[in-house]
Amino acid sequence: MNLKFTKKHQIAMGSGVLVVAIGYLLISSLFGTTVYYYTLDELESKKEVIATQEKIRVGGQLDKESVEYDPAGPVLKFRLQNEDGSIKLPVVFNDIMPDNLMKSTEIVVTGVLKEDTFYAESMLVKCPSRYESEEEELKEPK
Amino acid sequence: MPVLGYIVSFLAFLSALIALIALIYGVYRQDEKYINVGRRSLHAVFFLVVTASVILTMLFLTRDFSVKYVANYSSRDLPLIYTIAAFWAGQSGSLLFWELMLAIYTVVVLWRYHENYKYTPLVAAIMAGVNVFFTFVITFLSNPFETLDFVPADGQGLNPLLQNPGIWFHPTTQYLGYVGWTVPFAFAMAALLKNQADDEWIRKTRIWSIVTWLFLTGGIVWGGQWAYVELGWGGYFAWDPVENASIMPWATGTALLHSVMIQERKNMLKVWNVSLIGLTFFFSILGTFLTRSGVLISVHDFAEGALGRYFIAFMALIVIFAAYLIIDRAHRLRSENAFEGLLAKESSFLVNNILFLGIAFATFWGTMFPIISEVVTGQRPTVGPPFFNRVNGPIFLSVLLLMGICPLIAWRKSAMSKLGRNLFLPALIGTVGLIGFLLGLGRIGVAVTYAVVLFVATSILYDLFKEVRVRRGYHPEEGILRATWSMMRIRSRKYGGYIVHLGVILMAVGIVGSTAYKTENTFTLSEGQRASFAGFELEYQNLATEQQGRQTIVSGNLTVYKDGRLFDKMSPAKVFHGEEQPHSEVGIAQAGFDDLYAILAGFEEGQFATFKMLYNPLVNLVWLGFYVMLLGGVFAVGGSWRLRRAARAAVLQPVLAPAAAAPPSQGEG
Repeated sequence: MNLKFTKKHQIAMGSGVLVVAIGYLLISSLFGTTVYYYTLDELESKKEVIATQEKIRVGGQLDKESVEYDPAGPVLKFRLQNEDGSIKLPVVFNDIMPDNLMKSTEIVVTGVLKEDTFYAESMLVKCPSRYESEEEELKEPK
Repeated sequence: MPVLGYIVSFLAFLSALIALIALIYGVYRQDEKYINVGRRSLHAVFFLVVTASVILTMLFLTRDFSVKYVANYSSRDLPLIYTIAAFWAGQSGSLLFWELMLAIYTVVVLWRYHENYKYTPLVAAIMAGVNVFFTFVITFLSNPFETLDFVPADGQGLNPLLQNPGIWFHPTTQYLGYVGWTVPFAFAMAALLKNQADDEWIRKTRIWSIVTWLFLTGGIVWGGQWAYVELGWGGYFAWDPVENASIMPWATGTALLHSVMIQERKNMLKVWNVSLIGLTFFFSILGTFLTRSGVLISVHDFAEGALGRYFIAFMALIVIFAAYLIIDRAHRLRSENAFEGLLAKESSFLVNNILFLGIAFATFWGTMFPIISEVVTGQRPTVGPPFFNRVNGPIFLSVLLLMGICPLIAWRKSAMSKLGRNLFLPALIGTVGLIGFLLGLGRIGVAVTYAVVLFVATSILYDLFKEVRVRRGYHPEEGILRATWSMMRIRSRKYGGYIVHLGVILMAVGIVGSTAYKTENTFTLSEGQRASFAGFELEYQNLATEQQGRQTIVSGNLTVYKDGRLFDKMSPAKVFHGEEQPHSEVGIAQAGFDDLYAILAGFEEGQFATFKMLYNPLVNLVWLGFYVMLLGGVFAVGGSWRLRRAARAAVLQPVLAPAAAAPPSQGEG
């Protein structure tokens, strides 16, 4: 059998192998690292489905009255709530308080849910007023 | 004056539209009269956009708070330097800044290529199209001259996080790194429209591409440095969606800078190169859009607006236009040569391209995945840094390895025996390094990276050494240093590239070191109490309160001792602005290439203070590596300019003679 490949075939095969390798790397990494995102309402209705210990992301608003912070730990405790405040989720975050927490409009925490308390390993604080100020804050002079 | 600004931006839009129509018609009818109308209109766009920018600056300087944008981003007590920078602190201002840069680039292209390129009108027409879009955006969708129906007594002030020298470096270079791709894109598309299959568009835009790539690299690195000193989490890159948005054009642009060399030398990869510039330009617009839209959860959050739909339409137009042209003209872009061997520089460039496209695609996929999946399945799976590190880490490591192999192999094809001879020394040093690092550091990932870094450095220096030896054969009168310098000057593009590569490996050492060996701890100390951390002794002195304008700064003073001797002092602080939650100012003590990084986490006056301490080994190599890359880029660009001048003076031959006489194995790499 004549298995003589032209240079062109060799190049094409080499490139193909590389592309497949990168594709495999991408897909296998995707399986290991994907974290599902839920709003508080979705979380409430799917609680039974979501296995505890599985890492998830949850987005909600800060219940400002609930913030407790002990810098010596450091431990930050607060509750996330949905739009109308009907669902609340206690969150424990073992790190220092993010600077913009109190100004936040939305908070996204990543971590695990254990016995109705969310243990966050990272949190993202979203606040539109951070770069894009809101007009209502401008006051008319008296 | 705001009304004038509004009128001026509207006129800029009209002029851009007239330029576009006149240029298309003029090129189509080959009528110089219409082309001249188009050219003049583009000059008008330039003057009008510059005027609009001057007006906006004046509105900031005169503190005209009747203008919403000025009221939102400045206040009476804002220092001059930040009052000027507030120009690009928000959405509409930064879009105006984008358009300003584009207008400047457009007239520079008109002047520069007025006589020496016959398709300049077509290039100008494509650039006029981009001008139409951005003048439309700043006039109708996001106008910085919009006024309030009342005049507030004072403005909102600039967000304290933005009051950092970074605002002068990061957004500006980032936007230049996006805008600049318009020029090679326009040249490539013009060449396609005119069925020009040669590499003239590449030669004409080489410097534009390198400079734009340098700006983009600078934008990314300075953005990271800004986040590092300002955001107070001790890191500089987190695969945030907006950071990813800048990685995509950077990766495809890097691929392009390498693959154009194949086309210039061998007339191959033509379709590939026009596709790459199309992709890079598309990613630049996507990057601008993601930064400005708020579709993704990001540290760069901006308010959403009607802007999104128009940006998506514009991006769709770019894709359709470029894809149609490329597919329609592909048959004319057939390669004039074929790959001659697997073991050739050409193949290593091809591998480079596949790797960089892999980085771009993985980053794109990880960033857009949540949006796409939500549309398709209703669920929102997200990926974070672990995904990007796991995919892009090995790809970047392969890129590093390739950087070491490339200088050792010849153009066209290498004989195995010759490669073996070239490879021996770098591979030996790399292997010895690997064993040493494995024994010394014990961490496989770090040891492999550092061994590859040694391999690359040796391989580059070895190539330089061989060329210098050849040169001294021709010029025995030159000493080693003199010969090295002459060689580097003659081959400035190649050695500029090598200097960039040396910068990259420095950066790799910094990134791997600061990621793998970072340590952190939290200490609560009473006054005079000491704690040890990362080989240092920290002593908490006291709390100091200082009033600065409307701000109250509370700093926790730390004294740092090393081996019993005073090493440095740090004052991480909390800055209070009225009732709002304070923001942190970190304290950084540099120890060689390492950083000791302190955040004041909390305090009880007169009693104790809590500090979060981080030790970031080798982090300063990340910044240093970038400056070396910048140096290499400037060296390459400077060389191109010099050669071009020399060519114009018709003394090219004597300058190039020694290089042309060198063996082909030592071509540009």
